[in-house]
Parts: sequence; C-alpha cells; structure tokens
Amino acid sequence: MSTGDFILDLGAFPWLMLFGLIVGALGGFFGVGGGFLMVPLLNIVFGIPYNIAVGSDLGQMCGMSTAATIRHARFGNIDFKLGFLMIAGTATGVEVGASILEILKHSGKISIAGRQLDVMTLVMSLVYAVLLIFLGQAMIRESLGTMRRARGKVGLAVGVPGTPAALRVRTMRMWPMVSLPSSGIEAISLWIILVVGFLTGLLSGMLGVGGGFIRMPALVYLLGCPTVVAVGTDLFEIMFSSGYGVLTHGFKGNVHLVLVLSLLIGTTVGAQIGASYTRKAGGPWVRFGLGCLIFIAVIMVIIKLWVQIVHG
Amino acid sequence: MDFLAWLQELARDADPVAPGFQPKLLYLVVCVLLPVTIGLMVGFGYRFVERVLGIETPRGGGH
Repeated sequence: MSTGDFILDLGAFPWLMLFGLIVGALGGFFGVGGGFLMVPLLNIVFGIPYNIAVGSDLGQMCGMSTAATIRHARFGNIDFKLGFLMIAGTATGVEVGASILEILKHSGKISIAGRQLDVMTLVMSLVYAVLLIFLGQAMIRESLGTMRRARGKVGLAVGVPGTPAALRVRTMRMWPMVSLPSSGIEAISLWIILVVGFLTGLLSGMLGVGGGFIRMPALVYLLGCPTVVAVGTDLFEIMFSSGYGVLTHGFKGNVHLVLVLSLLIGTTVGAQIGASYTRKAGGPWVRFGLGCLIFIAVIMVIIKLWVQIVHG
Repeated sequence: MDFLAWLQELARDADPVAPGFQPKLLYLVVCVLLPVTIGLMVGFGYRFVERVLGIETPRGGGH
C-alpha cells in the first residue's frame, strides 16, 4: 500500500499532532529521536501501514534534525569532515534499506494458522520487536549498573572509553587513512567510517529510525570522538540520511505529506517540553524509564501481531 | 484545511503500487522542502529568540 491508496482522514490531523507531541516530549525527555517508538506506534494506534509510517517518519526526522543541527553548529559541536565522509556509506545504506522495504511491500500475503497476513507487517513487527528488546535490555542493564556504581561510589574511567576490540578497530591501518582534527583523531581508516555510515543508513532506510543508538556509540567507542562532537555529528548525519531517505521513499510513494506536517509540528513542540524536564530527573533513572517504555512498546507490537494472526 | 487537502491530493496522482510508477516532481520537491523549511524556521527562530531575549545557552549542553 502506498500514499495513493492510503487516505488519511484529515480530521485525524489534531490527533496526529497530539501523538507527535507526546512522542516528541518522550524523545526530548529521554534524549533520543524517538523514531523507534514512532513507527510501530503509528502502525498500532493509527493503523498506518509500515512503509508509509517509515517514509513519513523520515520526513519528520529531517525537519527535527535540521533544527537541532543549526543549534549544534552554533556551539561548534559538529565535525563536518567526518559527517561528509560518512554520508557516502549512509546514502548507500539508506538506499539498500528502502529497497528491502520495497521488496517487502510487494511480497503479498503469507498464511499463518489459516489466516492471511501481510509479509511486510510480519517481518517489520518481528524486526522491531527484536530491535526494541535489544535496546530496552541494554538500557536497563546500563542504567542499573550506573546506579549500583553510584551507590558503591566506584570511580569511572576518565578519557575516551573503549573495549580492547574497539581499540583494535580504531588503530587498524587499512588504506586510505584520514585525519579528523576537529575530533582530535590523527589517523583512522576511511573504511571504518563508511561501514558505520552504511549500517546506520540501512536501519534508517528500512525502519525509519535515525540510527543514533548505533552511530553514537560507534563514533565514541570505535572512532574515539569526544561525546559532544559525536552528538552534533550524529544529528548532522541524521539530517542527511533522513533527507535522502524521504526523497528515496518519495520515489516509491511512501511519504504522506499531511502525516509529515502533523508529526513535525507535534514533535518540535514536544521535544522542547520534554527536554526542559530532563534536568529534573537523574540520568540513570531517565535511561531506566526509557528502557521500561521500550518494553511496553515491544508488548504492544507483539499483541498487535498476535491479534492479526488470531483474528485476521 | 485547504493546504492539508492540497498536500493529501499531491500524493494521489497515480497508482504508486503499479510497476513503473513515477511520482510528480512537485510531490518529491515538497517531500524534501516541507520538513527542511520547518526545521530551518525552528532552528533559526530559536537563535533569533535567544538573541533578542539575551538568553545564553551553555556550550555543549545546548540541545
């Protein structure tokens, strides 16, 4: 189903704006883009097909990241050289991800327990469930660990963090090597930058997420970027990947412009409201809350899929 | 509401599921320009408001 077949009732515009405001507020409060919540919830709450939810969410993300990039550029938080180098990998990844979604869109139906179910709905629900479980458990484990360390008053390491494996990747000598003075990196293989871009682009094109939850740790641990520069460069990258994503999904008729507008208005306001409350809550508690919220989303995705299989 | 109806109509020019579907050029342009324009307006709008009101956002924690 594409935007030509899917008619959105214009009366739903205020509700979609309110929905965008809530997801935007959660995203602003927890410091994430919220794409991984937005797409499955658009499907569950409003019955919007996954391909349209992904294409339209990328449009919403493009606007949000443009506004955020302007702010970060003002503070000098963006490594433009790194961002531009990563774009080649990101664009390829977005194209591959969008093509996978296109194949799923035309895959028709599959019979499960005597019921007909869209292949796209089945695959996307399962991929989202796995991704959200992975994210949720990682966030809860990390936040509980931080709270435990804080109670035990164990000091944290200072400097650029990294596991031995990450350090090995960072020091790999695979031609061509590039230097990134803005991030304080003397030499790093271009291939590492391209692979990081490709993987996050793939997630972006297929799932409509910014990919910050993978790109951020990769920039900090694999490349050795300072965290502040990683945040700014990540947003700069999201601006391009979502911009390219919305264009390539537009070619496939997956972008619903009314949906983009309503979500963008809601999330822009919501993100500011959410962000203003973040400072009142402790960091680990915020991440613990987000982990729990993600598990609620997983349960909703699974229930929706179960209902579709049982009741058709 | 007319603008919303126009946006809704813009994507409904043909059968996008049909093989060889070509979207309208205007639809593609609006797909990219709509979010980018709103993003630029919000981003520079904040900068303008901060400048007018003299708000100093701490470096590195601005977003």
